[in-house]
Amino acid sequence: MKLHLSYLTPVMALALVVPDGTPTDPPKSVNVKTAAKRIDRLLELDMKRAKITPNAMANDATFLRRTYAGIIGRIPTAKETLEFLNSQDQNKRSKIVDSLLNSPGFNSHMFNFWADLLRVKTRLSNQVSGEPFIHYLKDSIGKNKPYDEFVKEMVTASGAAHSRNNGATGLLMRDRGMPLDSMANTVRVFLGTRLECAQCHDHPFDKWKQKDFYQMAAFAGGLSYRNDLAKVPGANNVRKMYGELRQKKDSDGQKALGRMMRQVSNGLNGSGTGLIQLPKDYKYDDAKPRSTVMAHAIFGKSPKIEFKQPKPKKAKKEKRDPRKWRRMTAKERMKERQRMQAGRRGGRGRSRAPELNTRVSYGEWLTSAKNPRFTKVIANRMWKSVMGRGLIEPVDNIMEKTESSNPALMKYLEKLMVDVDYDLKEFQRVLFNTNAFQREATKKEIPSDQKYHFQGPVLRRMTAEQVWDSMLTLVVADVDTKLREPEARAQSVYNDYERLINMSAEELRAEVNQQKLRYSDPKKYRAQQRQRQTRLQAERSRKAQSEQRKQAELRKRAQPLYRALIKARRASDVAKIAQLKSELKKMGIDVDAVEKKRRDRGSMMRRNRGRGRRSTQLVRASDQQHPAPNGHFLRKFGQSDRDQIQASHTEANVPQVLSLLNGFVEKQVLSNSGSALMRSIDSVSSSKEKVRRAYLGILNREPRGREQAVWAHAIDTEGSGVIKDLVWILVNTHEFRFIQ
Amino acid sequence: MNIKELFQKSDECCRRDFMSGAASGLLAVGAMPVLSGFAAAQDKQKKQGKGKPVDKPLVLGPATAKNVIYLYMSGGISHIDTFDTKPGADNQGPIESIKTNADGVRISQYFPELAKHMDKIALINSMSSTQGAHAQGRYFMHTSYPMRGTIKHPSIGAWLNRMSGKTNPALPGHVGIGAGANTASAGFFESKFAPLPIGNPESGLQDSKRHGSVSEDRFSRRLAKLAEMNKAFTSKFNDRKVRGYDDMYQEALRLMKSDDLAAFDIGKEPKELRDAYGRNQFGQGCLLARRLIEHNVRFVEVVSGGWDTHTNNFDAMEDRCPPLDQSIATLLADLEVRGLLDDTMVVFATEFGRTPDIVNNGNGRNHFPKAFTCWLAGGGIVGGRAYGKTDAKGANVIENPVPVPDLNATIAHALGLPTEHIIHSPSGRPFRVAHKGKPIRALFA
Repeated sequence: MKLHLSYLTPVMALALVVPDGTPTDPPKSVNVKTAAKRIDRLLELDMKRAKITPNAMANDATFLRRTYAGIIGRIPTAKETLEFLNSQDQNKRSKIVDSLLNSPGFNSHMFNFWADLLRVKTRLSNQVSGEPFIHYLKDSIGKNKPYDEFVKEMVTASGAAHSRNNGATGLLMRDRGMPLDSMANTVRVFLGTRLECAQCHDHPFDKWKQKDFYQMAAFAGGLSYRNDLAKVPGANNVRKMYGELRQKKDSDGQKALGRMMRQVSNGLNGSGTGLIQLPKDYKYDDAKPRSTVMAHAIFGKSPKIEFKQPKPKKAKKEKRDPRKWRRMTAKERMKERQRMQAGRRGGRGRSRAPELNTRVSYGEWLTSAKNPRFTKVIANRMWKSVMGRGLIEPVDNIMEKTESSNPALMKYLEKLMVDVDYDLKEFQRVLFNTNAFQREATKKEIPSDQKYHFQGPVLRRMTAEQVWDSMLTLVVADVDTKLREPEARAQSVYNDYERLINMSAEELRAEVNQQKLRYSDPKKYRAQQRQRQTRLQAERSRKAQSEQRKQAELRKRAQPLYRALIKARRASDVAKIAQLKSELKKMGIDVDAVEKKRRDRGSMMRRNRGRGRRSTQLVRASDQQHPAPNGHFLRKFGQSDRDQIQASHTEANVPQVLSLLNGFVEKQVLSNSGSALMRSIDSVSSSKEKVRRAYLGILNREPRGREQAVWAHAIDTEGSGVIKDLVWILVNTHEFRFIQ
Repeated sequence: MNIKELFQKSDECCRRDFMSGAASGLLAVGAMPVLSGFAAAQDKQKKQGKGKPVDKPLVLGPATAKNVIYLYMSGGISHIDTFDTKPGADNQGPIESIKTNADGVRISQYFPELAKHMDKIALINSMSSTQGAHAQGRYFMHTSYPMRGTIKHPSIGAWLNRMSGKTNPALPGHVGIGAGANTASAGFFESKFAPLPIGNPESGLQDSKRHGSVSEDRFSRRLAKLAEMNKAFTSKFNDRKVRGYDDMYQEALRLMKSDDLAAFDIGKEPKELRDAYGRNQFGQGCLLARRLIEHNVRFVEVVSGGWDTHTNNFDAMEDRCPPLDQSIATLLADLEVRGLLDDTMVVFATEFGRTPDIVNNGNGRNHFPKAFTCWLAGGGIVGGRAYGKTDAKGANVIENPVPVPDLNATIAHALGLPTEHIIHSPSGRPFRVAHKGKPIRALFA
């Protein structure tokens, strides 16, 4: 009788495992090694049934490159590669996983994952900035916020979109004005279910009816995308100003104020009424068009909502005066009609259903461990991210009959996700520690409609962000240290917002009067703006000049010390060098930093200075504009335009290849004397060593067989130009862009 | 000197190139029943699941046009101040109208050059849209579907390439010059149908030339070694994605060596011709478009921006219309002289018009989707007339309303693309090239 591990309870399974004795992290409810072993066992069973042999274990170099790309989104440097390859530590694989998960690169890479999924843009729309949302995402990743909390925050967010630290509103602001699409997108991303077909008719492929769709949308019933200024502290002045302008019948002023307040007026307002109206062309028998439906979840336990019956208000009885009516214009008649209708309903404007906090109920239902798809979807997405393919494919089109390729493993992964309290970092840590992750990549492509048994990871081309970040690794030293703070760009958005809502009445009046000009006298307005620009410019240059003067003075005073430093360097007098450097530091000059900066900038900047050309922003993808502009390297390589969910691709195209042949590689890696890789190669004198550095830095492995000898010989006979050939070739190989 | 003289004066080699280009152009014109649709005839989509329909093989209809130059006025160009003038009306403002060489058609005084080409142009004064915001309007105009948050529709250029294929294998089939975000896209089609973006027409195709420091010889030696190094990888991994890169390298190298690459280099054109087009991004973009069309690039979009004249309408018209006039007139003349106008449809489109009422202190016009003007020329269009009418103010369409999808259906019809044909998105939803639009057959008669 075969003893299957699946028959054992977790407790018994633990008893069979020998504790490894050196925990590096605080004790968690899940033992990483045990969980990893469990996963491997479930895969083995599946493979045995399918009569498939698991792939051999990958060598260190392959493992390292795959791990770096998978955890921090870039290839390792030559130095990082050597460090790992030379280490004799038995546990080095597990340790590198831990250290990478704790590094800033992980945050950058995870951000790219969410940016693609949540369609993150630097400008969500022409009135709403995406920087607060970006700040929120980066901050949540940095704090390793549990996934269920993260989703719930975004789904229940409210308030002004631009107010400080309220970027969680970004998820729903992304679909501002389109609440139905917003719900469909949320359900697709977090529940892997495609409801959008049911927006207009009963779903043709799945069991959802149009009414189901609307009942889901009802949870956010009454949600307004206009910020309630009454709730904004300090916005009293704005309201008073509106009133003032309305009284004065100053339409230009009102327009000006409206425009200024655009930043303030966007946000999420409303806790959810739980009610929604069916569309006017609803054609099914189960309800009348325009009738109101109540919120109800499509699966799982639908949240209970206490609908209060509103007390019928006494309707005002008003009759039309025929004489007055005849003399009115069409517009006036419409206004009168509206007023009377409102009066009959017993209130001013549209009748409002009571706010019942149904958005929070929805958020709780969505992110509950009991929700049949919430955990499954994230577990599957994480599995796909690590292994290259999901247990369920496609990851976001789960239907009633959808089955994973390994139900026992899927079930275990769901349990694991709950056990780690939705800590995505911890979950991934387990996956990266499995044998499955460490095997060689499968050599034969498995068609998308065939079951995959994970005898090894899938061969994948690096994502656009991984390619870019890896290119940067070749050009910029310590590229991860250049990552910006999460709030870097959001600060100005928050500051502008606060400035506007804290304006005093006089300041408001002055600003409105100035902005009014935009509508009343546009030429004068433009002239004024130009003057303002020149004034700011003059101020800036004055500041820069005075700064320059200060620096020049400082340098003059430091002259003798500098001269002594040069002497000491020539004499290699280490002690003297250190002493002089510290003296200079006391004066306020950090020699090391200045020199490093100069080196990092490289010749590219020197050449471009004075020509008005801006060099390519050499920062990681997570710090670039989102999406990158049309024609940017990232877009060529398949970065999403962020208009659709997960629209990124890894297909080949001609602009990519041209960039590899003649563009980025030539300009930034080879011809740029400041490029980290070239400097690293230049710093060694032996040709063999140069070749080795190239291989270690680009393909992250030692040269094989005759490779080193042949290239070294070529360098010796044909000159150093051959090095550029070698680097160019290595970056253009399949081996570079595909992760084995 | 006029276009004809310029053409005759151009270099012998250019004329030869042109002649060979024209020959292939002429062959495909007229009532040829099926274009290079043989590739498209294999257009069958994989079955996605039970009950999902399989697309029938595509058969193209008779085509009058092979290629499209799509001139897009981003921002919403005012119709009353350009091609739907209302002389004498209160809301016309200071802009006068002038006669054209088409009977009964008058256009704005700022288009004197186009007035001489009105015999080629069919104005559609009765365009009507439901989308009054820029992003939505632009999207609707390009895709015939209203903008949604849950799917992205392909634009007309992507549809053309998808349904009918490329005619020049070395060059892309879809190019966008000066287009920013939110204009054309491949939507849910594969990314190869997306427009190749060209920012500045003067700089041509990015990275298409060998780097200055690398000689031809060195480049070939590098490529040979690269092929050697890749062999091991390709033999180890039996993967379509890897082979896809081998193919793409071949295609890129072919492009680099091909004479067709010269299509992207407008520096090859005589100086006077470049001046005639206008030394600005739009003008040079039109010139580049003509060159690309000559090399059988099927769909080229050239975008002109800055037409969103809320507060400076009349000043903007005065500043921007004359150069626009010059560029487009030169383009039409140039196409005609080279015999390309018969199979190239030139489209002048915008997302909406502008309010007939003058607002913002007598200076501006706001968005107005209810009625506006686009026009078509070439590619089988019978010019010299104005189709559809708006009322005396230019505020309502009173004759032959043309909803936006109908314009795209007309373009599709001219290209021989069946407007009833359904293509499914990867998620299984059915879509058509112009949604429910119906082509305006009257324009071809």
